[in-house]
Amino acid sequence: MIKKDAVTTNLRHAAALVLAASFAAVAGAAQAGGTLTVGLETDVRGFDSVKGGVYGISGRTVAGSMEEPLIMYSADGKYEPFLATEWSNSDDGKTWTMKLRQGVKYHDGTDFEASDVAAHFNRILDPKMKSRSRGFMTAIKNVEVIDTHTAQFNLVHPWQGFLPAMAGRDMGGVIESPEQTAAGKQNRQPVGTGPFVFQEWRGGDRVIVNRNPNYWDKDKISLDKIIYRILPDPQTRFQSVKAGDVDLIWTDRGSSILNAKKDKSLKVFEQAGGGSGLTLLNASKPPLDNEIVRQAVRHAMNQKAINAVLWKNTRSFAEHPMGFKCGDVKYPYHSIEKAKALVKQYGKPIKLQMIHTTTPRGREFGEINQQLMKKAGIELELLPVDQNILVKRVFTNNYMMSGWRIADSIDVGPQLFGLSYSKSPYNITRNKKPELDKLSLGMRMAKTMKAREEMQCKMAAYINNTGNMAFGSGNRYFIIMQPNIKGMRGFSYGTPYVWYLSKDKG
Amino acid sequence: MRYLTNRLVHLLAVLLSVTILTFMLVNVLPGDIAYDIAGLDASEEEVQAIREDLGLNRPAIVRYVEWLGGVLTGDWGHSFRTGEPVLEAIMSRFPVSLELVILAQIIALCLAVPLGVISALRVNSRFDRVVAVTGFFCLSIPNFMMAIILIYIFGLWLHWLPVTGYEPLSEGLWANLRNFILPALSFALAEWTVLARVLRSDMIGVLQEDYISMARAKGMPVQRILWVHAMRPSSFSLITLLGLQVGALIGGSIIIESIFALPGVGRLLIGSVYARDFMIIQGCITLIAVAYVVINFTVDICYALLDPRVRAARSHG
Repeated sequence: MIKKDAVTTNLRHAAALVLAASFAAVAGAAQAGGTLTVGLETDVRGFDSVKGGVYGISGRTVAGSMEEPLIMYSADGKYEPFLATEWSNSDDGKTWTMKLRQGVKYHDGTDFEASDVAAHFNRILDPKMKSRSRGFMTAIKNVEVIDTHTAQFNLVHPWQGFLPAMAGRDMGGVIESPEQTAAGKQNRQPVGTGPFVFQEWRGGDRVIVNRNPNYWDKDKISLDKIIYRILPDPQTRFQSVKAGDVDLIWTDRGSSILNAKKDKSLKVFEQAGGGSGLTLLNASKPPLDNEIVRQAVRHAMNQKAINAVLWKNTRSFAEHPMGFKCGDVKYPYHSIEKAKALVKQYGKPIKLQMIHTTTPRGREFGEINQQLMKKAGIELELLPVDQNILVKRVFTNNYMMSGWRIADSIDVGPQLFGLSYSKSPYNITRNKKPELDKLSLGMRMAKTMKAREEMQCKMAAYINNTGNMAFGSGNRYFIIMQPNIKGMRGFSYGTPYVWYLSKDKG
Repeated sequence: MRYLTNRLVHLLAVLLSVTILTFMLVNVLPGDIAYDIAGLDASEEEVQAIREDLGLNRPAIVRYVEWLGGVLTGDWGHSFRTGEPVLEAIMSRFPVSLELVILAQIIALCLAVPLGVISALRVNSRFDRVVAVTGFFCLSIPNFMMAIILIYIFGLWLHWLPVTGYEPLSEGLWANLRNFILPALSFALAEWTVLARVLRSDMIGVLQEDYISMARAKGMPVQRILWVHAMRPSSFSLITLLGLQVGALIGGSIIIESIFALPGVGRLLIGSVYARDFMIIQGCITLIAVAYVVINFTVDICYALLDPRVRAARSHG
């Protein structure tokens, strides 16, 4: 049996203490007010759960200050009441009943009720709406209203991914105002129940939100206003925080992180995250249809070298993409000798092609792999393409090898399932392994979260041993901020809760 | 009048050609916004559904005619990515680019005109040589590098000015201007040199004209000779260059707007090119083409205003 080890549990307890202390600090500093300026790496596409698509970090951050999920996922891995105060699962595991918080109002003054929850999720689940979030919630059949503050979720099958989905802030998890959505205004003028009220969105420049005076949990909120500034260039973003133009940024640029750590006028908050980098090996493109070739490639790859060169050791070594610990997942460590032996066993020259982005990081990724493959006797041709074209080539099966990623999430199960299950439309490596299908379905139907996590570990082990994916660098978050920012909770599965921060005026 | 009508017809033809060419070029760009919208976790079916929703599976010519009809009725379409109306997106950013360009040109002219005139008056003097060396030094530094130097000195070292951001005029004149000083200087420090050299060269020629010698002989003050009698005929090349520079800067401010995080048309355009947001690209290019056309037209009118000979020649056909 795979068990979370004591270190993880202790770390989570420590994180919970830090979180509690942060809340105490924020509560103590409440009413301090002030404006927080946050530098974002991308603009938001919109706040309508259907039109806006799946949120990235920027989307989750901005939307999260205005719209809220039913459940809060705490730093110590527990599901806590939020817009829902209680929930229960039926004996057959196919029905979840959610009791909603009373007295919660939307920013426009209307009451938050069960009919809003039903309207929100049923809209996402409606195939005609073509919501990007639907694919991750297909286990939900529909949502019914039991009474004004009770909603019932009917599932197709028992699904342990339900609570993570309800606590998620990326795939339609946050509830929007049905009135505003019906009026077609939610995408650009969002209305939610959150701690901040939308003021203005200057496309490509900033989104401004003001404190919600009627927020149901207003004691936890200190700031008067948050300005989200869109600063796509990482260097510009770093300069902005260095010059004091913004209070806080996050970045994955090793040079900026190392520079900020040396700068005494800045604070750096660091935290490990889930998800991981990924290299796709397309099983439908010979010779990658041969397991020996794939294993040779996997042993030639060197995650440590990638971490050192591309990320300047600011990322962690990842054997799998889950945020929890597994036992032995049979990670194929770098070994040129093993790779050479496998190439010899294959007996024919191996010529491969890798597509990578045209960014400096993409080019370095390709070149490092090219050199490693060469040492193992594999010829790797590089094809630099624009990010947009890379995605298109992967989806249209016009590639052999490509960089990719598994996004940080409370539960990476849906992504792992999509990538692994042979009949999934997201099976972009075109693998057809009955054993992996069995594990994927087992994971999806698991009756307990523990069993689901165990199955995810087994899937990772299977992929590492025989599969078409190479897990890469693990996510690590770095927040660079001014020293007067207090109450930092960091990232919780890809969402930085900046709206709980406070600003020390002194 | 006939001259103006002819010019207008020519300019409209140029505009139409630019929109056709842009539409066709944008459509043959590799890549597809549907993949960008769908993200990394989508399936091919979802991508195709998005293409269908956006109307990207219809022939380019049909979409162009629809787009042109929309433009003529004031509907420039919507951004594929954010759903923002294109005209609204462009018009909210155009004032930023325009203000940047105008300020850059004002700073450049404030440097170029006095330095160019004095250099012309004191040809080959120590002053002239210092201006020339300084000018070529500034010209040799690319504007993005100048931006980084200015950011380091005035933003990170002295902390006098913000290094990024934009505040609209409604937030106050200084709040607005302080964000534009460094970006405008990044442009102006390269541009003044060209303007000053052209003005110097033209003015040297004008100062050797007989009527200037006559004015000097009559004892007219040097200041009056320079600023009233010599300046006007010396400014033709300056105005032509200014017109070209303003047009080029409106479309070419991508790097400076990105470095200083100014939400202008350049930044909107480059973001849209990366995202293959065709409607925004088309709208931006159209606006830039209109700007060029209007500026060229204005320059033509300025010639006539400055020189009676041009007016006379045009009125006689």
